[in-house]
Amino acid sequence: MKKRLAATLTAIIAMTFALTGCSAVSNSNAQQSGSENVTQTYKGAGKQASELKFATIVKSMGFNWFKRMETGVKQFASDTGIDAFEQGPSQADPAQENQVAQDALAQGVHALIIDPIDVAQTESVIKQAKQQGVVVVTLESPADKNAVYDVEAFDNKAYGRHIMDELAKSMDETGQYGIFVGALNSQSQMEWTKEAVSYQKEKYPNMEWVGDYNVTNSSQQTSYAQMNQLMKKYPDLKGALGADAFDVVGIGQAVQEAGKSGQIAVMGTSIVSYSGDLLKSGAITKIFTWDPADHGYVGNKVAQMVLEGKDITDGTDLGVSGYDNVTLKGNTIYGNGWIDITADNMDKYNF
Amino acid sequence: MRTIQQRFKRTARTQEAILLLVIAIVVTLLTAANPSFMTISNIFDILRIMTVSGMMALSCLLIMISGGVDVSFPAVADAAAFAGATILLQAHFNGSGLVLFLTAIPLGMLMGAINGFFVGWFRIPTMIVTLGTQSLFYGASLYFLGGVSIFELPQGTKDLAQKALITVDSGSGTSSLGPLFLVLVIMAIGVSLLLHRTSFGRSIYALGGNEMVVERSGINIRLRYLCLYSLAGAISAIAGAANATIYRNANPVGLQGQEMGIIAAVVLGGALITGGKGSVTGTLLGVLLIAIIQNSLVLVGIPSTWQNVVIGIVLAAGIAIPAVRHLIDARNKTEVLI
Repeated sequence: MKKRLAATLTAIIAMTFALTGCSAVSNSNAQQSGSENVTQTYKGAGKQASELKFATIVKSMGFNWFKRMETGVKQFASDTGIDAFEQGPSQADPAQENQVAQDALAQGVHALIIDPIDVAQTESVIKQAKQQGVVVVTLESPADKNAVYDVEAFDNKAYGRHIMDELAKSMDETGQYGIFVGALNSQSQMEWTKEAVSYQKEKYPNMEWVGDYNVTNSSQQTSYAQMNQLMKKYPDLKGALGADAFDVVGIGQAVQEAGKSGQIAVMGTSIVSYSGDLLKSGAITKIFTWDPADHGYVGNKVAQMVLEGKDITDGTDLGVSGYDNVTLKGNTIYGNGWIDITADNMDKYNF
Repeated sequence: MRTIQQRFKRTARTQEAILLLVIAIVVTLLTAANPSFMTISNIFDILRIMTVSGMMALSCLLIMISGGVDVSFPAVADAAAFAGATILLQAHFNGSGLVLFLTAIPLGMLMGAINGFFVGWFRIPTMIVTLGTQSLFYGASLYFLGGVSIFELPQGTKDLAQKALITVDSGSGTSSLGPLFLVLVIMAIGVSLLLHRTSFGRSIYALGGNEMVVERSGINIRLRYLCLYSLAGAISAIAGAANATIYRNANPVGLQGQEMGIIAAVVLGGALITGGKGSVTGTLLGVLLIAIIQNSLVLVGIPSTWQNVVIGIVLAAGIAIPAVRHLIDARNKTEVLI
């Protein structure tokens, strides 16, 4: 009996670990290495486009988001003649992502564009690539100092100001609005919502932020329940901002069920596959996101410019809308690559 | 024998009475803080919120009465609804909203049966089994089914989400109560009848009271556990399908993390964590109290950072009260015996 029990327990524990994908955590010792880039020589420098091979490594090929990014990478390949392709693990697992990146290096690529799950765990691969003379460009990792450049779709503060401008427009620059965030320690969400509020106080004094931060724990159920309460506490509420991709979905459902579609401006970060129905019905006014296809395209473009020895500075045009006037901070390139999605243009962004 | 039964009944009733009193106090305080609390539309909001948690609590209650603490019911609910929605999506099904429920239920029963198998055959404590299987169910749906939220539900499901039994115009917008709350009421009556009017139901109490006695009375315990856990799995699956319908989204991890709150609500409702005791009425009152608190913190303006603290305090107090009462009862009982 006891033996059997032990065996069963072991089996359960083994299954648990197998399926949750436990992975070793490696120590990160991020180096400050801005000056290294200057002396670096790249094996792809001076080569014809047709001789070059660029790999874009993503978190997982299982997400619609990265399927969309692949269309940008393919577009880059057909625009330039460079053999550019995208690869990623089927599951978002840092160890597997490293493996895919190492496979790409073994294929002799000249540039590695990588969107790491956890940049600290990808550091060793990035260093390995650098030693081989491969240009490394990271996406969504402004903290990383090892890549030649990191490309961000936008600066969070500018994003916050843009969203507040749009909200103010829908609210006729007057009235009460609430704010929903996924978590109080979500750095990017807090950064843009805080900037949005301070910008509103300065530029739209007739608007008023009511309530506290509504913390939704990235749960649609929670944002729905909180929006129901907010509408009762503030019957004149005219706007709501959601920072997590699920927030506007719950907010929009609450607004729709209260019969207030169109009377309350509902805006925030989300994607069409989450909020499409509510956008179409008018319960969600506008959502904001960035197009992974453009992001992938620009990542490859930056790698190409590095090989061609072209400088990237403030104001450089990377040839894609939203990245035609970039800002450089350290080795991070910021675009203005957000897109505004309404019921009218939502069919263009099916991700 | 009768006196002990009566005592059990009486203590269960007292717990329900205490809960009702607490609810009355909380409601009075909240109404004083914000009069819009006692409006039909807010009451509808609360009933809507407790629909899914009420269903999960029924599943949790059944297992707890039999002496087990199940932590896998949100995983079963999510996985059954998510797998069901995936099947309907693959089949390009676009009809009645009922079909999602019918697809999810057998899946939920299967997952429940896996739990029941381990508990019945190997006598592993329920909590250990379900800690393992909840990861298994979550992991399997992420690994095999992709783990991306499904918003493309059948048209019938989307329609069901917006169907209303009653609609009230509160002046500043409308408010309605959907048919799924009625499903919770029917399920609650069903579980209550099962527990009190059938020999199967009484054997669940007996299992939680003293398993050995049940076994010696000639009942096939393994089969009982298998049936009980399958039933609980089916109830969880209905909760999962209801959740996907209400929020128009089959999210593979949508209910993750709710198990402790629900277990607390069931204990709050007077169920004994060691089994043998618990009632449907008490459980629903426990769920109602938590739904009221969850749906009023924003309304009365308690900052988000404090919301978890408030819920935690209520839960801790609610669980401590019956525990203390149980201790006192036990002491009185020994005194009587002496």
